[in-house]
Amino acid sequence: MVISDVPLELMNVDGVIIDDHEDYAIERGKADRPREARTRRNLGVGMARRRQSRSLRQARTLLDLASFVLPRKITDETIGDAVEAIEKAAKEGVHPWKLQAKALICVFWAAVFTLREVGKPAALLAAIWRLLSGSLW
Amino acid sequence: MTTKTQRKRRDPVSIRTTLLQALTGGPAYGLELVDRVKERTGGRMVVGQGTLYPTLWDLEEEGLVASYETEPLPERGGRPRKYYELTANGLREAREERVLGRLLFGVREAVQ
Repeated sequence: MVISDVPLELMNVDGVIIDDHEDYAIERGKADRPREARTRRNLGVGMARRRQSRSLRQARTLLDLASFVLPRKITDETIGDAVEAIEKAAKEGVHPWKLQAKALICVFWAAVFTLREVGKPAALLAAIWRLLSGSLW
Repeated sequence: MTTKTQRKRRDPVSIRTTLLQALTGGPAYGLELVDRVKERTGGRMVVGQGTLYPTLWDLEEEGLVASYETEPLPERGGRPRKYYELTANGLREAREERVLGRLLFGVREAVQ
């Protein structure tokens, strides 16, 4: 059965079949039009993909925001690697919440590394201060 | 009193040793190093980003590794990759640690 044979009442406005009767499941490539008829199961797959792409977008936005705030020296490396890892994970079909978790963990570590970098000159100043105050007293 | 670096050095398979050994396979960037360690240890050792970057930066400060950046890449959101490679000192230290590890602890090469 091709998509043009499916009664209109069984499709939504986008032409997607909303009835899950197996008769309307058309194999890819067999339909006379490129739009693929979908069973309810296929709709679920589509929703999961949409959810994953939304998570990927959110994760990337979070990482972009972090690289806007944190020093470039750190973000180029840590956030760049995280973006690459998240893209790779998304292609492998990793669960959407894991993509967001990876982004959050990366932002956390980037912030910790920033504090570490900021702390270095502070520790140096403190050491100089201790040295000076020691020699004065 | 032992310093943090000395404590790290006593551990036969510290993150520092692991990264030095992994870098003997050629230059690599952070993510690639994580994959390399995971692959070569059969998943027994996983390097987290919380320890990876500070260790690499420390090694660079000590002159054991050198780094260079590539052109910005679209798959990284326009950020460059930072590759690390062993310096002559780093290569010497990596070899020494491998030999010491074998001699003192009988450790088979965790990271070949």
